[in-house]
Amino acid sequence: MVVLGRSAYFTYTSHERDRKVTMTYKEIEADDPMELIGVVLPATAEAMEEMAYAFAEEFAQMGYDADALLRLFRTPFYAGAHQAYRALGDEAIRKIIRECLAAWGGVVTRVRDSCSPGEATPNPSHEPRARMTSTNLKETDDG
Amino acid sequence: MAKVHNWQIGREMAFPYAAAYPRRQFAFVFNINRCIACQSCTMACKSTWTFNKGQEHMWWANVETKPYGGYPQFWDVKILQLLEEANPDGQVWSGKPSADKKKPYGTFDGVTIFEAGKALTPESSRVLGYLPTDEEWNSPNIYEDNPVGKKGVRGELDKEGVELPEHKTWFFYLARICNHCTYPACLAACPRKAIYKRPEDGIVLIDQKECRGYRKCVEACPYKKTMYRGNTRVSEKCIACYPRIEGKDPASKGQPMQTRCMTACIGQIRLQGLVQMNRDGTWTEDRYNPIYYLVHVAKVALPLYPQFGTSPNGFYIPPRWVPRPYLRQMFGPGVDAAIERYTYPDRELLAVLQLFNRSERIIFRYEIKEGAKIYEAELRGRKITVYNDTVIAYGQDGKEIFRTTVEEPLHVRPAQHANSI
Repeated sequence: MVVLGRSAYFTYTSHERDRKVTMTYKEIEADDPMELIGVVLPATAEAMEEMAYAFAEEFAQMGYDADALLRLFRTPFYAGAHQAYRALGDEAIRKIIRECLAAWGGVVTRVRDSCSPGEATPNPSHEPRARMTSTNLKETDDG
Repeated sequence: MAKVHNWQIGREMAFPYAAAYPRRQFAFVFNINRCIACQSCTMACKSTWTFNKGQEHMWWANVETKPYGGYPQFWDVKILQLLEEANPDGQVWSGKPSADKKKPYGTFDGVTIFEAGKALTPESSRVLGYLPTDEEWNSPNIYEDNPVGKKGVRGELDKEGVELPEHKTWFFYLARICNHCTYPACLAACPRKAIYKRPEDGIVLIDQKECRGYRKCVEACPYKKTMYRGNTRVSEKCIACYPRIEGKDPASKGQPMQTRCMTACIGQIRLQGLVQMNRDGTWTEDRYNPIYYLVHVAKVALPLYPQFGTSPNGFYIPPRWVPRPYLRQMFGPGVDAAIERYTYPDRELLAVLQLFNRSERIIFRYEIKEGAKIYEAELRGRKITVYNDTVIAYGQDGKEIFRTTVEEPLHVRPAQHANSI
């Protein structure tokens, strides 16, 4: 029996119901507008390196440490950063991270909320953007 | 058609209605350099406003991968193509970016979507546009960043995907919402006059009772941010979370609050505010409003496709790594100077960038308390100087919302290691 859709379901025999029913598989049709279309765009290796520096700088400014930055590049979920990691290689990315942290990694940013409207006491400070460099070091909260 | 002055294209342009400007205008700045497409904004909006039956295809806030992606698919390519066909080889800018607030990016000499008269079909149309197909609406982010399986192998990702050919390429993530344009194409096109711009904050809304679902707004909006809902037979669009802007959200305690998509952003790429408007449609000088500063003083934030002519109120800090011709087409002639200033930020810009997404409340004014120099460093030939500066954000009531301080970290050894050096 050819199973064509839900209406045919009720005509199953118990034997047929146990069979693995699969949908039709079709090859790509070139004139289908929903198929992926390749477009050639000008790009240089510098664009990739610039993208890696941009991500490293931005997130270094946001308080990411070396480990966190490296994780950003290594995680395939973050496609842009990860593409740069694959293209440039681990050592090149580590070098970029070292450079960016040398420039932007020397500070932490602390945010202090004021009293919210209707509140008697200030909100607690946000956690400082802690940059823990080793387990022996601990940052104070009040500077 | 009436004549209105559009400062983003640096000239007078035709618009179906006479100029009328709100007292204040909803506006925002997105820093593309920081966006990693986590889609938190997208889902915050979806779960607040468009989770109902009939809204499945609606994403008032979305993030798309440029240059491949778009929601709806190909939206910007298609409208750029229509404009090019209407005015072949004429879509160019003249002059140079300048301090003139009436034409800060020079002058656009081509035609806007309101001026492409000969290309309009039918002739009664007021705005050049097109209706996306259902397929183009239905699959946001299709083929963007998605791994695919081997050809002919179903239901399984390619285990050796790294062996696929990798090209030297570039891309970036473009977060988008309705731009609540100063000259909205949706408003201009509506035969029912069901779309209006609020005088108090410039938010563009569709009157659901007046709308009959003709979809002229969907056709006209060049950013494709009005959407048709089949089961109610009316169009809907981003409402800029107006209860929050009005301070009527219970969490706002009466103070203007940023939209859901802004406050959900984990990458701190977004800053939303309200700018004051002059009677000629330019922004009132408000030096210490962060949005005004980023757009008109630092000039690092640029409008999206200003050549469309709608004077959008969403502004973007362009991505540093993308080839300039592409960026010039997308953000206009201000791109080169914007990237230069963003790459080599001065002290004030560094401080203002610390205001992004630190609070849910809208910042109306900032103040910088300068501190001592902490250190100097060099990065790729650039000299970087870091100061112990504090930037203070104030709300509509003039009271401080928060302050952000850049500090040298102080490390304290725990007692058990006090003597170990």
